[in-house]
Formats: sequence, structure tokens, C-alpha cells
Amino acid sequence: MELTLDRVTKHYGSKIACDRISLTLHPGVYGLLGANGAGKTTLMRMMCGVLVPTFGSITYDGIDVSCEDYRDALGYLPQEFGYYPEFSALDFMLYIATLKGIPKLRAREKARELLELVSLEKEAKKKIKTFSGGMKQRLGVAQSMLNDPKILILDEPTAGLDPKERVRFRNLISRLGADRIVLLSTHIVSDVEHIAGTILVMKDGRLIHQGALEEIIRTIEGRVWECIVPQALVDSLCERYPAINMRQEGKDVFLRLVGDEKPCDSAIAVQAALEDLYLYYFSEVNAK
Amino acid sequence: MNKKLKNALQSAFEAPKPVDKERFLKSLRYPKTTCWDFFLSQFRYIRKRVWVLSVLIAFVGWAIAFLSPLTIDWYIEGEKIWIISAVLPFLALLTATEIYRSAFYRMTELEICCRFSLSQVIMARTAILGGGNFIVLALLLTFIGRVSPYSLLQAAIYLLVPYLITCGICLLILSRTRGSESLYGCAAAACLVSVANVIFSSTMQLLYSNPFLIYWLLVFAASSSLIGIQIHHLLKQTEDRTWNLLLTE
Ligand SMILES: Nc1ncnc2c1ncn2[C@@H]1O[C@H](COP(=O)(O)OP(=O)(O)OP(=O)(O)O)[C@@H](O)[C@H]1O
Ligand SMILES: [Mg+2]
Repeated sequence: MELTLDRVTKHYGSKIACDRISLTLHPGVYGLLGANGAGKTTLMRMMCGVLVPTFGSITYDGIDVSCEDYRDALGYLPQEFGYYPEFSALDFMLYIATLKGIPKLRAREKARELLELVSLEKEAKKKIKTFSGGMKQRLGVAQSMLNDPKILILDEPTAGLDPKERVRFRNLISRLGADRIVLLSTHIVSDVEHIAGTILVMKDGRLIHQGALEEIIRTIEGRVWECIVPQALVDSLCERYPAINMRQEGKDVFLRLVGDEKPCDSAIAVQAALEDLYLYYFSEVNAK
Repeated sequence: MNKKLKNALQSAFEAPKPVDKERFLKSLRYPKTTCWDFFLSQFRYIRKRVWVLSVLIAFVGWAIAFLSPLTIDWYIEGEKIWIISAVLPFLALLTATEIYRSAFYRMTELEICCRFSLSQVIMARTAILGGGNFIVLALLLTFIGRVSPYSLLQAAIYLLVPYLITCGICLLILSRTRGSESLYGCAAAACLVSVANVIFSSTMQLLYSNPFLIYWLLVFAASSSLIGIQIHHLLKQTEDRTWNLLLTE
């Protein structure tokens, strides 16, 4: 079971949204991180056959992305989706089930089971119109799993979920990752930090990092600093180093910074976390 | 005897509790539905209003053909046809917008990546709606054929032209624009065709005379091919997955 991307590229006119991305995915959870406009959605759309790559190929065990068998093994949650206005949650699930080719009886059973899994069983008969954003998102997650997909691609699945549902979702995903390929994109680093076996970092359409959490963090190990400085110093420090955290402590300011050298005398080196790396790559200071 | 033994055994020993039954059942591969099952399942997802309007139109056709001489005596040649053909653009409007529903409600992305992909969904919808409309039109023709002074072919053309023009224009608008403005465009087109049909046919009886038949035929051919081109274009768009208009906001 192997999903292979070979130099996948997507151009929008002169804009390059994805630039020669090569990847091999095996069963497990993959977390895709990247700033707004990094090309996460574009990449995922190509992996789901929604967009055709300008160049490159995507195959699952030798099956091309445009084949029916590929789609049969696929579950996808788009970043944004709509629904027919007359649909209730259950109707929606049953409709998607007909498209996924699931027989009627099985579809009912499966739909109920999944709605329960995302704790929407009480709302099954309610119109989707009346749902809150997070409830709709959970419905989206449920529909993606109707056909027991071997490849599960979720575009910002945790957007709009409350903390309780977020924890539930995290547990669900780590369970699912045991025997299938799960790829999820997010802006919330803590969502993937502990469940993703592999972290992929995208920037400007390119894959700049790929590896286990520890490997990735190693690149900035020893370059994360914490210090407490007077207000007057804050601006000049923030101009030179990407600031990861900042809070007022009495008269002084607590700062967490990334930098190659010690930013100031009082600074102490601390253990790096994924969020530091993320902010380091996507902070404006670094972009300049 | 055998049965007795079986029962005795069953009562003597307790059956072992199934181990991991749930998981086994889940992992069982179930037979997938066929294309035909899929096609049939799509009937449920055509909006009711399409069928209601179809039945209504068929009924109006029947009423005009068989009841009007009794109730109305301002009976002019051709009148029956234009009354019905003025209603048909609205059937065309409903049909065309129904085909494009996925895009209106932003379901395209979800539908593309399912086993039966968007192009199959659109084909199924087009086939179902086309079949439904065909039945309505065939019924109308038989009703009209019974009472109209024209030949069947002539009646068919007079009846179909407004319908086809609306269908063609709506599909054209829907393929070029998106969102609610295209819906307004289509509604406007349907009204326009309907009103034009009423005005022309009530003021210019000449239009329904034989010398004009050739123009009717030309319009008929033109609008039919417009519809053909639009449907082809739509399916090609879904198959090449070039969703420049339907996907991205
Ligand atoms: N249809 C389109 N036409 C032109 N450019 C596009 C189109 N869709 C996306 N882009 C561009 O491609 C780039 C990548 O967009 P994409 O939606 O993949 O980003 P993303 O990583 O998903 O961002 P976000 O975190 O905001 O969801 C962006 O710069 C965007 O402007
Ligand atoms: Mg995105």
C-alpha cells in the first residue's frame, strides 16, 4: 500500500502553486503544515483527482489518480464544501454513499455508525442548514469515511472544532492511521504534533521539510531562546529575530525567539518545539 | 432424528462467544453497487418540483386539448399550441438548472472524488431529466395531435422550438457564469422566450402558416445543436477536470 507522487507540479497561469513535489506515503498519519497560500489545498486537490497536475503523476499501488479504483479507495474532506439545501445530515450521508457505490442497507448502517462517531447521532434528522460550522465540519469528516478509504485526505479537518471534539478527532485519526494512509493539513500545529508520524512542511509550493517530528525539530535545535527584556528593547529584537511568543510580565516583556546566535545576554537556550519551527519558517522576519 | 440430535447438542453445550465478530464483519468485503443501481438511486435526488411541473404541464395540455372547446369559444387555429408552448420554457429552465445543481451548491469537489464521479452524476441526471421531459412532450404531442389542424410534424416543431431555445440559452448561461446571477439570467431567458412566444403567436397568425415552416425548422435545428454542444462541453469539462468555472470561487 503505497501512494506515490512524482514531480507533481501545478501552474495557475504564471503562478506556480505546487512545484515538483515528490513523495511516497505509506500507512500512517501525515501532517501537512504551511502558511496561507503555501499550496496545501492545491496539492490535496491533485491527490484527489479534483485538479489535474500540470506535470507529474500520482499513483496508488500503480493505479493512476484518474481511475475509478483509485477513487474507490479514497476519502476526501475539502477545505470548503456545500450541500443541497433540502438535505438532513443523514440524507447527505446517504447521497454520498450512493456516489461511492455503497449498497443501500450497508449505507444506512455505516452512516449511523459514522454519525455516532462524530457525535452527530442526535442531529441525524436535522437539516444541515441549521448546523453550526463545527457540526458541518464533523459531518464532512464522517462522509469522507463512508467507504472505509485506504487513502484519507483531510483539508483542515479541525477548523472550527471545539476542544472536546478536537481531542476526539485526534484519537480517531491516530486509530485510523494504523492501517491506512491519512494526510491532513492544518494551521494548528498542536493538532498534528502528537499524532502525525511524519510531518511535511510546505512553503511557496515547495516541500521544504519532511520527516518525523524529532528529525524536523533538529534543524532548529539549540536556536530557540527565551529572555525577559525591558519594553524598550522589544522592538529592536523583534525586528531581527522571529518572535514566537511574547507576553507582558510586570514592567518587562517575556520573549521567545529563534536565532542563530544569542539575541541578548539574559537569553537562555530552550528546547525547540514544532511550533517554533513553523513560526520560524513562516515569520516575516525570515521571509525578508 | 438429525434435527433432534442437533437441538440436543445445542441445549447441552453452550456456544462459545464470538471473538472479534464486529471487526470481522467490518472487514468483510461487500458487493459494490453497479452502474445501473447508481443510475436508479439518482431518481430520488431529482427535486420534486421537476416532476410536479411535468405532471402539471401534461395535465394543462390535456385540459386545453379536450376541455377548452366546451368552456372557451374564442378558438383560433394554433391557439392551443402556443398556450402550451408558452409554459414549456419553464420546464426547460427547471431542467437546465437541475443539471447544474452541483455547482450552485458547491458540491462539485465532493462529487468529483467519489467512485461514481461528477461526470457520471451529470450524465445520470441529464438522462433522467431528458427522459422525463421526453415523456411530457410526447404526451402533449398526442393530445395536440388529436385536435390541432396541423400535421404532427408541424405541431411538434411549433411546440418544441420555445422549449429548445430556452434549454439552449440556459445551458449557455450556466456554462459561462456561476452563482446566483446565472440563475436570474436563466429565469429571465425563460420568461422572455415565453412572453415572446405569446406575443408573436397571438398577433402574427401568419407565423404559423406553411411558408414560415422553413424558418421554424432552422431555429429548431440551431437550438438543438446548441443544446448538444453545451451538454458535450459540460461533460468534457468534468472529464478533463478543468473546473475553472465551477470549482474555484
Ligand atoms: N483557481 C486558482 N487560480 C489562480 N490561483 C490560484 C487558484 N487556486 C489557488 N491559487 C493560488 O495558489 C496558491 C496556493 O493556494 P492553496 O489554496 O493551495 O493554498 P493553501 O495552502 O491551501 O492555503 P490556505 O491555508 O489558505 O488554505 C495561492 O497562492 C493561490 O493564490
Ligand atoms: Mg487550503
